[in-house]
Amino acid sequence: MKTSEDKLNEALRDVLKRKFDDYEEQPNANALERIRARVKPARTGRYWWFTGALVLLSVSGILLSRFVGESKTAFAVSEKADAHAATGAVPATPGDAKPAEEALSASKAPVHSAQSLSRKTIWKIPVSRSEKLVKSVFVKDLSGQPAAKVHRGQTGNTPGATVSRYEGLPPVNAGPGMVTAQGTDPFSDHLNTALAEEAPAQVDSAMAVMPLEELASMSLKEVPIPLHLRGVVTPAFKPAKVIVTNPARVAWLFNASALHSYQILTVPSSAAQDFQNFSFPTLFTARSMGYKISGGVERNGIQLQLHFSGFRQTYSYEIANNNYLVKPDDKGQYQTVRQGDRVEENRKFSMLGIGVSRQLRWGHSPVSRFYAAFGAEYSHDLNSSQSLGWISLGLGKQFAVTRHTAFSIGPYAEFSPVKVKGTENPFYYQPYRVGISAGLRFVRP
Amino acid sequence: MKFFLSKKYDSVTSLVKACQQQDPRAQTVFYERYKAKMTGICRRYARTVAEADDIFQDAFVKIFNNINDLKEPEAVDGWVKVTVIRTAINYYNRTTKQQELQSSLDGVEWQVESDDYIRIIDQMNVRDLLDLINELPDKYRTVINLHLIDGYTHTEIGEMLSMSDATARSQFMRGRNLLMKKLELKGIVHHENF
Repeated sequence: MKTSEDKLNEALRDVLKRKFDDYEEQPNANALERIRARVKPARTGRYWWFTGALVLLSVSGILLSRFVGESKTAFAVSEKADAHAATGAVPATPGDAKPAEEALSASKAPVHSAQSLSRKTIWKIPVSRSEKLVKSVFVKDLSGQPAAKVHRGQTGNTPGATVSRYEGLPPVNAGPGMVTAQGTDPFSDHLNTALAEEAPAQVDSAMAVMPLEELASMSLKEVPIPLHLRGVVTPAFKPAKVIVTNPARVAWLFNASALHSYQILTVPSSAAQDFQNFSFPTLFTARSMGYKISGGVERNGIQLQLHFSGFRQTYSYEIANNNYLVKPDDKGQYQTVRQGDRVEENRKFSMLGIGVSRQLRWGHSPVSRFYAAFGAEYSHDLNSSQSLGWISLGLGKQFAVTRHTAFSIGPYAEFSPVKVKGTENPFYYQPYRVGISAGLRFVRP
Repeated sequence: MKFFLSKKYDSVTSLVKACQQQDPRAQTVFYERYKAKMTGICRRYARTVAEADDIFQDAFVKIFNNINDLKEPEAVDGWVKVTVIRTAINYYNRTTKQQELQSSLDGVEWQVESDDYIRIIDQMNVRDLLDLINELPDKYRTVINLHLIDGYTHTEIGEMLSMSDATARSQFMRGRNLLMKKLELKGIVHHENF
């Protein structure tokens, strides 16, 4: 039973089809040239022949230049290497060779006499364990690795060598077979001739002499093509991968993040003990890596998610005792250093929380969008029954995986404005985390 | 030389196969065969003549680059047309911002009988009618072209435009109503001119 709307649509379709079925217009006169310029060039036999010849020439040229360059520079480099070997063979002074070992041994001995300290002035700078390790490796490299060995290992491009690898080669323009400005060699002549022969084949004036009567008499046939074939072989448009940002529908979210933890530690002045020599993890270390897994829903850009995250708080400090050490500084002045008992803190957080965030998306690409999300979260530590609040910011890009699914990835950071108290010390801990977040978003189109 | 240039393509299949070999002469013949009709389609889907030219060129680049994907050379006519239409859809997905299409015309009371619209369209010059369609917002224009002129169903349109059938139908109704409103104004103007 057709409604009046259907009848109107049919009438409109009839009249519009009648009007436009045979509607034709002429395109821009230069369109074919522009299309040709953008179409991928054909890989003809001639193309492969020229490519092969070019590769062969390049490879043989490189081999030739390397062979000639090596034979000329070998003598000069060996002289240079001998010179370095002579200087490198001079034995290092005892003061240069030993300090690394001494520094390591000094770290093991808690108390030193004043005499022994005065002899090791240079190496008694109080540094952390990792810094001492770096110093020792550096000193060992300088004394044990003569520069001459490095120079011997190099062949043609030694920075210290003064002989050019191109010295002795004939001038570029004088080389046989090279294409010169005059183009007098047989190879360039052959190339020019070949290009001149190829040009007419691409001239569009071919149409003027081509008989088109047979094709012109064949009408365009669109009707026999079944509907299911429409677009199946069309190349670029892939609706299956179009990103769907349907804000009115409920979208399901799943995110996983790898986050590096950092911390702000507050030592209250009211603490009864003296704490000193705090040592924190380096800027990037595996010990401070954590994770965060989130799942939830989104509607109209508002996200409600449950979070589970894990991370560690690691650092060490000393509780000052009543032992004192007198030692000189760089200027030879004696200083008194109070000793302490080192305490290692290695606390594990397993946080379960709930958060709300607002996500904004922008961009016009049919397959991707940029996004920014900011939000707040409340989470509870399952190990210590303490709670933290977080504010978070995420940026990144979303890509369509299917019509229903988008994959997002980007940097993510969160900061806790809330401080938690240490379990076995009086410090206050305030973490912040930086990392990368990846997620999936499922929504019905 | 003339002997080589006068090669004949006695069927569309042989022409397509020659184009698949990237024969420049066959490409020229192929282009000449479809250019006028496809330009007409581009003009319907595009907002301006310049945009129609862009779409036309994009489509032919795509056709020549992907003609090897055409497994049934006898279906080339439909394939070329579909490629042009999809290129037009992609063009507006890529280049235009999402337009505000919520200006509802659902409550408009039509002052002209439906037969009068047909009469107005029949009397109109094709170019005037084309101008009228070109004035429609991108999505309405696309849906009107797809459904009323090229005969796609709402389901197919939904697939092509990444929207549900219901949304495609609703967009079509809004576009059609807007077109009818413009036709109505056009009819009255024509009447006043006489």
